[in-house]
Formats: sequence, structure tokens, C-alpha cells
Amino acid sequence: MPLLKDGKLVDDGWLQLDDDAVLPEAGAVVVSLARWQQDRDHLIARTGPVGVRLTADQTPGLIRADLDELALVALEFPAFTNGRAYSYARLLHRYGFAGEIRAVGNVLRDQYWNMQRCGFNALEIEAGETEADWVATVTHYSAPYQVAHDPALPVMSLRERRMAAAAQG
Amino acid sequence: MTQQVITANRLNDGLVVFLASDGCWADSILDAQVLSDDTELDKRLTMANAAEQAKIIVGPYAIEVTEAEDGDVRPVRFRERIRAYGPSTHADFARQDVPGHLRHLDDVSPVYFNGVG
Amino acid sequence: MYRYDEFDRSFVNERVAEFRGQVARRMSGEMSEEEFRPLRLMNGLYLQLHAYMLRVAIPYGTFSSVQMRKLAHIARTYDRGYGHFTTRQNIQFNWPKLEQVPVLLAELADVEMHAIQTSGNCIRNVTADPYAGAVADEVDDSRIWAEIVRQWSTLHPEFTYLGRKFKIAVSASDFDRAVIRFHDIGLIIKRNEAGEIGFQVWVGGGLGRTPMIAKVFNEFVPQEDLLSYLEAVLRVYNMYGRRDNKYKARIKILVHETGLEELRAQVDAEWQEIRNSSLKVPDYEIERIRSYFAPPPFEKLDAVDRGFEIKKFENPEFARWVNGNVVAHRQPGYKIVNISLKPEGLPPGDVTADQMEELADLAETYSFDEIRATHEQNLVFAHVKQSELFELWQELGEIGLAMPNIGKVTDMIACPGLDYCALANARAIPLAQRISRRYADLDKQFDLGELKLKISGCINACGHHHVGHIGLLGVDRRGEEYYQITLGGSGAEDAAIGSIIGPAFSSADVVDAIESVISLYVELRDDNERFLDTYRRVGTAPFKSRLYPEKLDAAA
Repeated sequence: MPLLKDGKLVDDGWLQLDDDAVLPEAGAVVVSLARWQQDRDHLIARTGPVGVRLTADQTPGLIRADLDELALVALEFPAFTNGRAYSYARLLHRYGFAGEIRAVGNVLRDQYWNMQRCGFNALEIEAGETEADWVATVTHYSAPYQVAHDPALPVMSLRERRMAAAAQG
Repeated sequence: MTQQVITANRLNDGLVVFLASDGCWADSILDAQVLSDDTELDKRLTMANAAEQAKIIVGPYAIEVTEAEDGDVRPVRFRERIRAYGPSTHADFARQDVPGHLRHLDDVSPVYFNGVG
Repeated sequence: MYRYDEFDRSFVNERVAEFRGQVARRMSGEMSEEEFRPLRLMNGLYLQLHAYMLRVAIPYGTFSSVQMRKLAHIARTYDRGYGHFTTRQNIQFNWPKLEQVPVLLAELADVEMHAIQTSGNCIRNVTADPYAGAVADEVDDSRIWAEIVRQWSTLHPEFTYLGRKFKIAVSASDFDRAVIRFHDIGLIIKRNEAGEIGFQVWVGGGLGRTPMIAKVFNEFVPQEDLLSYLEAVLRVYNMYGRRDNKYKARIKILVHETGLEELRAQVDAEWQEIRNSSLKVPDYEIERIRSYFAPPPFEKLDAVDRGFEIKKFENPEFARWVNGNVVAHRQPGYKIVNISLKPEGLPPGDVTADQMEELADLAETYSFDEIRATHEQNLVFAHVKQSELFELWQELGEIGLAMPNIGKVTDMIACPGLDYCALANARAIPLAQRISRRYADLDKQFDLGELKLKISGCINACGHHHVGHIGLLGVDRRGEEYYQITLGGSGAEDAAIGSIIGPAFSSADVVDAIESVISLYVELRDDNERFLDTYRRVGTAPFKSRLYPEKLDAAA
């Protein structure tokens, strides 16, 4: 599945490991929460980064204590209309997680701006779509109305700047 | 099997349409092809689904109707009668393109038109 | 009223452009109906029984003559010459073509209007007290705060794909004219002992198939913390609200299943995390928005106008309209005028394009160019000189909008019902029309006094039947329209959910049944007692035995 990372289509260096698959000795792997909880020590001890995949009803609070050991958290969208993972991404950032936050599942470009604003930096997308299609959807708006995780200045701050500039003459 | 016709909403304007025997989507239920054979119904539903794929219509489904000897086709369910004939609240917004729609509405009791009890 | 600055203007234009692209992808087949549906709903576009339906927001219910004229133009150009005012300060057009909707939205954007978040599982357009800025009993102008919430909630990246719709309303008075207690979040503006503004926050109200009265989550959230508190509630709801069953997905169910104390604790914990963040509403922004809602340039007038008093004396019809539709204004010499959209026998809330244009002219002449929409599907001119009420009344009469029935039995809320709605089980408007004719006698209506009758065509309760003093719910019985009667509901400050009184009545019998209920009230009432108060005093039993005498016989 093509991976869009920081706005670019890139090769996915991560192996999605099924719960019953043999753990490779090295290389980057993403496992389910259940496998992480079961094989935690083993996964940490091996060579190569580890990621955990959370379903829509698994909150990031469940891995909060483990975040230092993880390089990636994948958040599932079982349907694009199930928006729980937006909040999960915000929480991961608040917990100080600095690794990759990846959107997986029913990930569509009309939600890209929302995902970017909530702090997703990688998305597994459908084959056949171009980078340009995706990037176009995050450039519709000159400024958002509210603060979120992204550095975009909301309208309120832009107004303040303009007022300050006007005051200075 | 009971008598049925296939209906949907047209994609571009959203209006109610019915599958006619020539494969076109007609505005009037009186132009709908009345089906009374399961195999034929399945065949026509497949055709309707293809029309949805082809961006002509949205949400096709079959409804039960009765067909009179004079060719009058009327839905059995109350909801489908309103859908076929237009809102009962404003005579002027009812489907003027369906000949006899007022007669149909008169059968739906009680009916009140805009300003006319 | 609020006016767009360059940022608001470009945002709304950009939204139109985005939607134009989405419509093009739908029409070309690049996007399926399944993918398109949530996107179009978030822009107010439904596919209903007969056609598409577009719901346009009237932000917190205030709009100008220019905007009203644009609505008239849209009704004529893209629809069939009329619009329908809803219960949430919106107007609906019932016949737009998908291919024309982007152009229609661009026309709306020209007059600072839009259809953003008037549907979909997102934070819906925020509503407010329709008397804001005019009535004496308010703590602050609720529209200021509704505008702040509008901006925060518009395309909120985190809260756009919620489990279900999320409605917020703002009021500033002990009198509830905004159905605060039946919103997902209801905000009542309060002033603390230090004179500071804050919000009493009600959470978890709603109608639908599981009606619930909201509960107070916080007695006083200071004004600068409003957005962080809302964000905390929304985040908890987004993470923990049910997604397995759409009928159990509203926050009211989360409150009910988690328990008030526990959920409040979760919200508070989240709030403490984000309270001191950039979500604080800065004073300059509050003041900037407040400046738009400064009072219009009122004249200094005497509280009593002799000419007005004489006209009332001379003209009993005018006096009746004043008595029924006109309420006190906080500025001496001015009045708040309710314009009933419930003329006898016509669909509640419908206005023709011609009427819209006339109303726009009248608002310009008589009410500082400003109109309000109410949740009861009526309009308000908020600032009318009492010396000009007579002229206004005459002019309203010429366009058929001088019905003096505000708050009376014929001032019904009715959802579009089966005449338009894809979800309905029974018609609502024709029933409203029949009741309106049955009680056409104004003397009779005034004798009955305040009586809120509300009709829904299905259990989704868009017609607010649960909170009607008399509620009517349309049900489908083997293809026939039947109506269940509930009694004793209220959507106001004395909030209550009506009780189902017994088995449903056929369409043929239901108007007689309502008349029986009302006749019994007349027999039982004490002096000047409202229907609701009589019902509360005597309970359901007398009404049951009047409506279902045969059951009593069987039991005896």
C-alpha cells in the first residue's frame, strides 16, 4: 500500500506483522496492541524499531508508558467516518510522542487536512492516487479558524497580528 | 410475484425517476416498466445498479405497485405514493408531469392543498 | 450584526471551492455516493424523498435584509419559489439540483452566508436566543458567544467525524427561548459575584428516540475558558461516545451510560490539561466580536406612545396582534415583534420568495435592517418603534403574515414529514394544516392561551413532539398514518419530556382526539392556568379516560 509521509510518496520500510507471524530478527515491524503486550520484552530486545497499531477502540492511554520504546503508532480508521483517531493523535502528541503517527484503514484525501492538523505525519493511501491529488486537499484554506496540533496560525492570531501592525502604523 | 417497478433519484437533479422498458429513466411512474417476474426483476435491478455506476441515478430499489387496466400504475405503500406524486401540501409543487396525479392524491386521504381545504 | 472580515470571507469562498471540487468528483464518478454522502451532509446537502434539499445556516438566527433578498433570489432561481424555516435557525430549500449547488453556495457566500455544518456528524451551526440584544432579561448578548463558538467549531479538524451530530445553543437569560436543555451542549451565560461573565454548561440533552434533559456539568466556566471546556467535552465524547449503534451515539447516551459524576470527572481532567493553552479566548477577540453587536442607534423615546395606545383602542384586531405577538424591548419606546409563519392552513415555516422580499423591505424600514429566525419556525423583528407598530402590522397583513397566534395552539412546530423527508413515517404538515383550520377562530385560540403543539413525522423528533405541551408523533401502521399523542412536555426553562397518553389515533381521528384533550383542559383549568400547568396539576388520568373511555369500561 502506498505510503504518504510528510506529503511525499515514499517506500514503506515497515513490516506489518500478523499476530501469529514469526518475528524477524531485524528490521522495522508494526504489531498489534495484543502482540505488543504479550511480546514486549522480546520486541524491545531485538534489533530494529517497533511500532504498535491501535484499533479505533484502543486509546493511546494503553501504551502511554511504552511510548519511549516505540518509533511508530498506527491509528486505524475502520471507516473514514469514524473520527476517534483524530483525538488519539492529539493525545499522542500531548504524551510527548515524537515518532511517526500513521493513519491506516479507510484513509481518504478529503480528510487529509484534518489528519495533518491533528498531527498525523504518515498515511497509508489507496494505490493510483498521485501526491498532487493529496497535497491539493491541504491547500484549500488560507488559514484555519482554530488551533490544533499543526503550526498553522488560526484566524484569531492573524487578526491580532494585523491589529498590532495597524497600531504600529 | 407482486407487480413491481424500479425507482431511484437522478444524480444530477435528485428528482424521482422510474426505470422504463426502453432502459431510460422516466420522470413519470406511468412510464415505468411493470415487472411481475422475479428473473426479469433481477435483470432490471442489475441494469439499475449499472446505471448507478454510470452516474445516472442514486439508490435504485424496487417498489410494489398495482397496475389498472387503463394503464394507471400506483404504488402500494403510502410513502411511495407521496414520492411518485409529489408533496401533498402544495398542489403547485406536486408532480405536474404525472398525468392524473391529482386523482391519485385524492385517493390519499386526507389531502389539503395550499389554501384549498 | 457580525460582518465578515477578510479571513471569514476567504474561508467561506474556499469552502465553496472545496465543495465544488467534491461535487465535480461525484458527478464524474471519481467519488462514490457512499464517500460523497458525509461530505455533502457537512455542507447541508441531503438527498430527500423527492430531490436534494439544501439547509442554509442563519448563524445564531440573525440576518439582514440583503441576506433575506438573496434567499428570495435563491428560492426563485434554484428552487420552486419558496423556502422553509426550520427549528434550528436554518432555512431549507427543497428542490436544488446537485450540479447547481456550488453556484448557489457561491451566491450565498457573496452575502456572507453558507451551509457549513448544517448537517452531518459534526458540530452543527450554533443557535442562540432570537431576542438577543433586545430583551431586558439577558446577561449578555448570546450572539457574541455563538459567533466565537461558530469560528472555533468551523471545520474543526478533530471533531468533524463524530459518532453523531452535535448541537450547541447559547442563551443568556432565565427564560429559555433556545431549547438549551435539549442540546448536546447548552450554554447559559451567567455573571458571577465579581461581575465576570461565564457559562453554566448543560450537557447531554436531546430529543430523538431517547429524549433526555441535559444535566449541568459546570455551574460557571469563565469566559476565557469557554473553548477549552468545549474542547474537553468534545474530546471525551469523540473518544468514548458509542459508535456501534447510531441510535446510541449521541452524547446523551454517553452521559447516561457513564454516569454524570464519572463523565464530568473525565471532562474536568481533560480540561485541566488544556485549560491554560492557546485555546484561551483573548480579550481583544471578544471585544472585536462584541463591537459588531453594539446596539443599533436607538432614538430616545418615551416608554408610552399616545398614538400607539389610541390605535390599539380603535382597532381591536391590531390590539390582538400586539397582545399576541409583540413583547417588551429593553429600550423605551421600542418593541420586539414576532412574525408568525403559521398563517391559517399553510405549511408552518414556509415563506415564498415574494414574502421574503417584502419582509426584507419591512426589516429595512422598521427594524434596523435586521431579522431573526426562531426555533419555533417564526421570524422576529427585534427593534421596532412602538409608534410604527401599526404601519408594520398593516404591511404584514398585506403579505399574509399578520397572524396574531404566537404561542397559541396554531403556532405549531411541524417537521417536513413524509411530504418531503426520506426518513418520515407519516405526514406532519397536512396534520398541522388541519389543526390550524380546526382552531381558526382567534377568540378560541386566545381563550386557550399558551399551548405549544408540536408534530414529528417520525421518532427522530425533528418536530420536537417530546417537548410539546401536546406532542404528536406520526407512526406507520401497516402503511397507514397514525399519530401518537404525548402530553406535558416543555422545551423551555421548565423543561419536561411529554408522556405518551395511549394508543395512536388514525389520521382521520387524531384531530378530534386533540380537540377532546383541549376541551378537557378547558373544563379542568383554574383561572388563567396554562394547558401545561393544568396537565401538571391533574396528571394524565383524566386525559386518558377522556381519550380512551372504552378502556375504562373494560376495566370496570
